Amino acid sequence: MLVLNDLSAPLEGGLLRCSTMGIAPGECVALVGKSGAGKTTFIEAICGIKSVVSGEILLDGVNVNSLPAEYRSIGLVPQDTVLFPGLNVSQQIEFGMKMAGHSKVERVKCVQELTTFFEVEHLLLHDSEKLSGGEAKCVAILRALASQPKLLCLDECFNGLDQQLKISMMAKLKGWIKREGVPALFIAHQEDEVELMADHVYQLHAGVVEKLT
Amino acid sequence: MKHTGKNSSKSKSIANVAFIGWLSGSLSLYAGFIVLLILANVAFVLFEFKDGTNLAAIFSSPEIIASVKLTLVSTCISTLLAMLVSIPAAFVLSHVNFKGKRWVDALVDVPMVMPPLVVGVSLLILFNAFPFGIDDGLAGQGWDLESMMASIGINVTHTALAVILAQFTITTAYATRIMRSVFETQDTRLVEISRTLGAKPWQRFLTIHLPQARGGVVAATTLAWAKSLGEFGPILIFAGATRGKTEVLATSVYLELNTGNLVGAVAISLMMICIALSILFIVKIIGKYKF
Repeated sequence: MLVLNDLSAPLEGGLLRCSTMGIAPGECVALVGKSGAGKTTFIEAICGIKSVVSGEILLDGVNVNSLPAEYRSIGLVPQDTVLFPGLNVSQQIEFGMKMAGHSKVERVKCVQELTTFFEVEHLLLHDSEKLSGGEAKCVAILRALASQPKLLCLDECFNGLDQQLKISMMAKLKGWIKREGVPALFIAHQEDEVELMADHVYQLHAGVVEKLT
Repeated sequence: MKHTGKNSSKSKSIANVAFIGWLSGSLSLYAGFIVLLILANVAFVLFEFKDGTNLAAIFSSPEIIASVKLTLVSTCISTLLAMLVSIPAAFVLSHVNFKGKRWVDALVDVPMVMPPLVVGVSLLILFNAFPFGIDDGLAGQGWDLESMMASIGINVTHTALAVILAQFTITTAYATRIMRSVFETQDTRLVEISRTLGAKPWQRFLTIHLPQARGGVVAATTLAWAKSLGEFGPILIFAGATRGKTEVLATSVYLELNTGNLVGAVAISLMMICIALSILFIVKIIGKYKF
């Protein structure tokens, strides 16, 4: 469960404010707004990559505001799909588990479960540096999920996917989020993403995050 | 004001030719100069040692064999030590902010800008006359670093250890400078994403920073080794040039020249060139592969 209270973060030329936001376990919240409005800054501030001026970020009742990003358990799928060079697809997906000290058996089991659920087992045979843009996005999503986050943040992660793959990925991701009971916050640019994924919609306009639906 | 198309395109092509000429001319001139330097040594040795007998005598002399051995051992040890120190030092300088960082950063560069002989003198003074000086009767009486080391059975000045320490002092500064620029130009996005996946600072260092710095580590190691190989001034002052004891190839050249044996000096120089080129060649090949 994520709760934001009076959160404010630095934004170019001012402050980004969110008086309140709540995301229940298994719930998907879409954040919409114009390009350059500060949506990525907002998400990265929640993740701990960007700084916060004031306010509370409560994750399962604990204020993680003062914790570094590595201790927050917030999975981020970035817009620019950053995959680690030199790692194969399986190593990419299990990266977070390895950092947390999970055994090889647990990691392999988790990778198998995720790739089977998302029907992308074939990706395990690929070299991660030779993946297409869409495939790399799939791997980045699975990597964030495999780290078993308490909150999942998705930054326009469906951009660049062909329509068929996009719809299929969104449906499966929604199913996984519901099944695992992970709260998810995603930045959406297109209506179909909001319709298919979002339980609630927030808008970021003029530096203020407000609930729309 | 109108420009005629022909004149404009002609002046453009002249500018292009001049630009390319300037670029390739500079490179060719310098590369040619280096080739000439090596060729001069090769031609001299070939001319002086037509039958090859004397050349074999120089290379098989016990002093030169000992010098080659000490050179290889000392350069490898000092390079290893330099890399062990420079990688973490460069990482701190590039990723950690602390009070007085600018001063520490400048201090690390000091051995690069200090004249090599001054480094040698400083090492000699540090070990033999610090903190009381030589004439106060306390130096050599257990109050200087050399005496303290000697009390635990380690002699430094005028030993092979001094050779390694002199090489280490200079090469670490160069290796740190290279590694710092490598760490500073790394993709910060990878680090941010790894943080959201729970990677702690030491895990990020081992899984993100160090693998990304592979090419830089190879470059820094090569330069550190090459600097160690050519180091002469500080070794001469701090370790001396005792034949068979603290003589490395760079000091061999000096000793041969001092005894008027120009031919011997050139032959040893050529040997150093061959060793250096072989190592550079091997490193270039290794650098092409992922490891």
